[in-house]
Amino acid sequence: MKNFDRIDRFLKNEMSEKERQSFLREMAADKELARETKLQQLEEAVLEDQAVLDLKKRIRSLQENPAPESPKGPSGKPRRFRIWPWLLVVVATIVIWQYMIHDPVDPGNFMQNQDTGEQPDPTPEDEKQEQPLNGEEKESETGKEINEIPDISRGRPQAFNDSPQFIYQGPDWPPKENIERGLSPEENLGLLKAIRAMEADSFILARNLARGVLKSDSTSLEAREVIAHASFLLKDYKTATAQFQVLVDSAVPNYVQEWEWYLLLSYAAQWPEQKANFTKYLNLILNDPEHDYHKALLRYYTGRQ
Amino acid sequence: MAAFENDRQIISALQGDNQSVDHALSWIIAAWKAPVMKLLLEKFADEPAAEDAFIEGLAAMAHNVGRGAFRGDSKLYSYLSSICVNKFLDQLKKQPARSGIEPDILEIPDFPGMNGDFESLEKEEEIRRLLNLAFDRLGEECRTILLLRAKGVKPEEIAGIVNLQYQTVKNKTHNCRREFRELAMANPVIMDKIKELI
Repeated sequence: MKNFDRIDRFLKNEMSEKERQSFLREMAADKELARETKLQQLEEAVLEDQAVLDLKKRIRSLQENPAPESPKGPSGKPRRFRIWPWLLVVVATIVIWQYMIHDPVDPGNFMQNQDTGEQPDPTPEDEKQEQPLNGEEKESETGKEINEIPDISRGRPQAFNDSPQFIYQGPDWPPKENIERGLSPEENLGLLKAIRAMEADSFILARNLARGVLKSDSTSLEAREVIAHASFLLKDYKTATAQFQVLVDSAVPNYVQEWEWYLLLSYAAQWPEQKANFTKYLNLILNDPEHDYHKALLRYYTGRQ
Repeated sequence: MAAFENDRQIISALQGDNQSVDHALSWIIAAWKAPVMKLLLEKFADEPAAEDAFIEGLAAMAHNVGRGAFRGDSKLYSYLSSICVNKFLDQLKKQPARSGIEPDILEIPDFPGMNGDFESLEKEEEIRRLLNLAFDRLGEECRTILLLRAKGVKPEEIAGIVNLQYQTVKNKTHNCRREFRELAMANPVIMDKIKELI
């Protein structure tokens, strides 16, 4: 305890820069001082833990015996009836109703008949991005012919409308035989833990662990894959898109098509900002009958079983 | 229960004695629990976890405000909701493993390698657990004084709470810390783990 006050000042950041540097040098040379500092730091942490624990007990007790008073709003004032949210609801209802009257075609219906409903003129960018499908007839797994040209000028396909999260079905972890790829034991362990965390639906943990792996090996596609899937499931679609894009660009045979599918879902989730990219991958998969996800996409696309 | 008119009044109550802290906590529970719970449940439909996150978040907020660590950059309500969301996310990280997965593998803090390796963090956790046990072995008076100090209560205020002279509180605080240290050092496992760390 002879250094208690000095350590206390060091831990509370109350030392001058010169004094702090001197203390750090002293710790580097004196292991006992370094250990005492560590112990004191942990003791402080435990006292904080205890203080929070005590507060939690009191909160639980207060919840069980609440004071008899009606709750009030966060401002501290009684809640008032506000008219504007109701006004908004009424206006929104009128707008939607008007839209339905003038445009009875479901804007999200991917396979709508092009002869019905007015369609806005596509922008030059849309025209550029929306590569038409092959005019050739395609066969679904049921053998029915599909020759409609997709029109997503007004909205993404109905199947993607609610949430691409519903369509998403993650791979079985580990998604490929990656663990024996020659990674160092530390990276192997980190990746294994990340995959286990994915299996346990602990996506934040999985992503953090995979980031740790990626930090030591920026070429690790497996780590990127975990980050991409975890981000998708955490609805962090920008990160998911970026990672799936790297994976697709890596063009690893056997897996690239799977990554293209997830990239498509990630873009779908960012509709309409990513409409152009969504269209690109949609057409890419629809135009390739050999694509692993061609049939699955057709199913969503047409609603046919 | 008198209502609070603004954040400053709540902060002042949370920095006051036990009675005023309880008053502030009761008011927060009555006024803010429902909207915070709604916010949490919009993100994740798990009511017991949301309830735990609210309690943890409120305790952390009250602790930080009580010791003057809240800088007032945001409204107190926003501060509480963001802490609760973070606590909720922390809980998700600690979800129990599904069958066939060893739980020890899953309970690993964020970003390994950035704040220390797995082993060091595990050792620190173990030391903290043992230190918590040591704290429980302190006498009630010591525990009260050290807890109040950890909450940021000044010695002169502690003197009023525990009915002692100011100087006595100062001496007792020092003696209690010494006793806590002695209990820690009496546990060879703690000292071994510290040596393994440094």
